[in-house]
Amino acid sequence: MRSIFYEAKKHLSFRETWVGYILAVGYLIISVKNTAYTIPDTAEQWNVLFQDIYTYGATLSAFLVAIGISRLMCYEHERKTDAILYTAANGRRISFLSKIGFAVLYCAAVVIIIGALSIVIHASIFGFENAFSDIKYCRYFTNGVPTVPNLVYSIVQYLFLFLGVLYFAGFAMLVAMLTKRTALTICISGGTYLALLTYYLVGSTFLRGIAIDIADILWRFSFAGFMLQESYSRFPVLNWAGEWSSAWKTVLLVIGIVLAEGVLLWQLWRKKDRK
Amino acid sequence: MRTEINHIVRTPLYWLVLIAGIGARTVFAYLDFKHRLDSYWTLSDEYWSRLGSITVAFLILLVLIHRFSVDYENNTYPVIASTAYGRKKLYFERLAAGCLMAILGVVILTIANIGITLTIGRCFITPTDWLYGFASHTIVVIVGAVGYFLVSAFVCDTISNHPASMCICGLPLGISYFINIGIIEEFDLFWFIRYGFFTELLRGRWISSLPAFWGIWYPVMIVGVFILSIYRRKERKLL
Repeated sequence: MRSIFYEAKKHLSFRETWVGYILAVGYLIISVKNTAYTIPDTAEQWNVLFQDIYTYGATLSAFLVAIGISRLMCYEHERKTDAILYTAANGRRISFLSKIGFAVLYCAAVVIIIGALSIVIHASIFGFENAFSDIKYCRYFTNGVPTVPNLVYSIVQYLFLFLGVLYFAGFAMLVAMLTKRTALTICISGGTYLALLTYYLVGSTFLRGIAIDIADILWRFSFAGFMLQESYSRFPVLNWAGEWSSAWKTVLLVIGIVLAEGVLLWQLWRKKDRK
Repeated sequence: MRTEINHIVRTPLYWLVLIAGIGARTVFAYLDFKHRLDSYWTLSDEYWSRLGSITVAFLILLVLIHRFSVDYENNTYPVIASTAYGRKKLYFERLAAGCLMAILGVVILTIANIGITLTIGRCFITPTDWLYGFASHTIVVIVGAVGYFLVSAFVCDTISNHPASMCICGLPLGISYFINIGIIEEFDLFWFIRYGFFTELLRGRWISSLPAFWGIWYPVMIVGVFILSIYRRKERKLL
């Protein structure tokens, strides 16, 4: 646990972390301000709240993860202190586990802060009315609206976002291990998310034929699809379409992908040590 | 300055970014030829609007401004600063070299786009005004690339941190691509973000919304960030 704390101290010493935090707070304030408005229909109000992740939550989480996690796996190599690290008896294992532990805690903190602020601020506008009534409108699960209360579904959405953010963090750490450069990792991981987001928003206007089929499969299996909640509800590749009762399948899928990333990271970490 | 240009030319990432941009353009040109034949030349003319501007932005943020923080990252700035030309001369030479390499990058992408478009669309007659229109867009992109590089370089030199500079300079540019100009009003925050950070210039377009205002804004921004950079250098006794 103490080694995770030291990783956190290291993280807070990076200048780009604070720049990222300041920009993220500004973006969050502007986004919450622009999406907090009153609608007479309370059910529609909750529906607007459910789309906070689509509107700004996923992109903000991706930004904070790209900035905060990119330097985690390549800092020692950039500063040329990795050889010292591995002279300790359990240096490899402990440093790896502490970095993974910090990454998981960091992703959880990002999602909790964004989720808590969004739900509290938006729902307090209409006084949390009908918080424990069943959902009436749902953008994602159109073939069978989830039979859960509004507040519970709001929280479950952020759990889905957390899994997607873990997936993205694993991807950023893999890129960091391969490139060993912070700036390049930020560009590649952030650029990949933006490319996937651009495809989601406007991809159908400039892709045709087999290109759009390939792009759609990449999108569905990508971290962006899970972060933007689309892949949990619609997974045509595996014939899962719009049913809340089938959501557990995609949850298991993303957990499996995250665990696979962890295994791959450990193999790369150990391979780096042997050099 | 020759040394600085050599440094950049020998950076593999400079050529990797250009090759990646050209490769992506080839794929999209082929897809346009297969599926959107009627607007093939228009889409090629709009190269700077999406892929081209993103490639130039990556080139500047990832490669060219790194020269201004590399001394701090390698802990060699006390050695560099102790040399006769390690302060003022080196600083201005890096700026000049970066500007030249940004222009070279734009020229390479221009030639590549023309070559790809004419090669894939060789069975068609080239529209007479296509080349002229694309060249006029390219001139605007060159102006935007130089301005964007200067501002990004000043920011990177001020804070001496490459990833942080990428965030500060890259975020407004990235956000501006997703802003719908149809719904923003003048002097709105998103209006500033859309037009105020070289995005329109990098996309090969002069700014149509209050151009006189932006004609004052951009020089003031460049001079202001330059003064900040000089001030920080004087604080660190590097100028």
